[in-house]
Amino acid sequence: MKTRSLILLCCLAFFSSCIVKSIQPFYTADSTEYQEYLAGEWVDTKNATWKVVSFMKVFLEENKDWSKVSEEDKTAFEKYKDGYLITYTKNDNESVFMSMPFKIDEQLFMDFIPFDYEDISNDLVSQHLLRTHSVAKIDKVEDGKLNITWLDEGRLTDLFDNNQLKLKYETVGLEESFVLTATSEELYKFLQKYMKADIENKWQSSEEFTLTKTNARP
Amino acid sequence: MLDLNPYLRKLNNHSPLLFNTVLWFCSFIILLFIFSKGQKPIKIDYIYTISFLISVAIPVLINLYIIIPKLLKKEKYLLFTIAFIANLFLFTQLHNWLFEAFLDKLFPNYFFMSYFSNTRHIIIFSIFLISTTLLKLSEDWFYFNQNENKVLKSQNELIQIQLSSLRSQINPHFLFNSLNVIYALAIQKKDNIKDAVVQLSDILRYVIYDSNTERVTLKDEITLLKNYIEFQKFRVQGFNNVNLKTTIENENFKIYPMLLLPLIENSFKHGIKGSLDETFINITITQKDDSFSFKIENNSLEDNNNNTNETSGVGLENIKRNLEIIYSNNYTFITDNTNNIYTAKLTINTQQQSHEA
Repeated sequence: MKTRSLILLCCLAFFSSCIVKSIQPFYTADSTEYQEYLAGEWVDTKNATWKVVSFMKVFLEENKDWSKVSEEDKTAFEKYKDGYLITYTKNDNESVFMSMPFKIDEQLFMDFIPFDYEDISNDLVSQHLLRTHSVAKIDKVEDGKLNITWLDEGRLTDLFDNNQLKLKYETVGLEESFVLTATSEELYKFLQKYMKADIENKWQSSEEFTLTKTNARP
Repeated sequence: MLDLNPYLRKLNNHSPLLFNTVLWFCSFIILLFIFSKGQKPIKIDYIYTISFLISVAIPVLINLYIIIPKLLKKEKYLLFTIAFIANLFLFTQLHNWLFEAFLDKLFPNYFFMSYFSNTRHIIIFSIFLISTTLLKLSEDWFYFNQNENKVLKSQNELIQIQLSSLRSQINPHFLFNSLNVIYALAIQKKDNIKDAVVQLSDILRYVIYDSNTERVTLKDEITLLKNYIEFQKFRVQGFNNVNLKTTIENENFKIYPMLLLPLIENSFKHGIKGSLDETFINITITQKDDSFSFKIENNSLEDNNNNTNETSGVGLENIKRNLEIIYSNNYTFITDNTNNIYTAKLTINTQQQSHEA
């Protein structure tokens, strides 16, 4: 139990160090779009594995009798049916994310949020953690590979510092890292404009992965 | 009734430059505060605020300089309401469609995200249009009130000139009658002519100086009447049948000065004729609460009303004109000449007048 908690915390720390975090998802309800080709097992250049499965498929397998599904679960199903459960494993450390693909002007993005916390629900540290959303740009590259580039906190800090950005946020923690508190509509509009903006190295990120598919989709 | 329109046209001090400078400067400050959410404004806030102001200025100026003058001021209220709402929704919708696109085009590297949603924009536009309409109406009311006060001041000055003119007619008229009395005493070489001159001097002091105010007390006015009656006795030796009966509740009751004297002058001038035994003047003055009445009766040997005489007609005519100006509809003045008795009755109600004021 303790081991899993530490793994998840390390994983969270890894993901939260330099990426933009938000209370609200980066997508709007009408922008999500399920991408069949993303499902499957992937490996990145650091030998970490990414097991991507359809949330809908998992949910329906676990809830074959629809009449026994609670209203709360039905709502969650409707909300996340286009999404994926992504199991990220590196050095035998495993964490699960809920991810939602969405498009902005034909560009694919994925919204990530840590998902599986049940095992550490009584842990004092975990109770101080806030699950936040992050967003990554997904690009298909040669040989069926995927590039995943997280929106970097440094880019937004530059915009804030230059008084070019009006987006609601709060700073938290001793490090005063910021967490976006804007609505999903505002976040989506921001990404939409950010895509078109003439900003040098706007997708330069400390969290960039190149994924190669290892097998057919499950 | 004076026509106010020429004054309004002449004195409408609306300065579009000043009005709009103040309006948009204040709007800028308020919006900047709102858009920066109470924080210290940053560059992007200034850009957004100025852009937003330009967007909202178009429907506001259309409302101020087309819809209000063409419809509201011409009392076309239904059309005004329709035009106002159409103007609001049209430009709010245009704003929602075009504003962000323009901003993105003009400022591609600025991200105006956490300001207001489209639903909030219609609220801001509504507030702007309603408040500027009220502001314009307030400004118009301010100038209208200012102009109306000028018109009223002019009217008041005109009335004062009229009253002054009427009073200046009373004084020489009274002096003319009084000099006739002195002249008669001089012809008769009466010893008490000196006393008569002194008494006339006292009367004239009151007439010329003390009565030169808007209102005098009833007490002072009655003193004048008593002095005048005594003075007249010099003229008509042996005539003592003058009865002055007063029932006064408040001696400080205010009336317009020199209002009653011409009536008594009139009675002395036309009533003291024929046998002294048959000659009489009865004066009754009553005052209670806000009501004042004056009644004078004298014997009359003339067929018609006393005021048909040219000289006495001047005094009565002055009384009527003064009453009309000072007491408007709050008085009655009746004269009658029947059975050789001439009667003049004046009643004044000051309560109605104060209510109307």
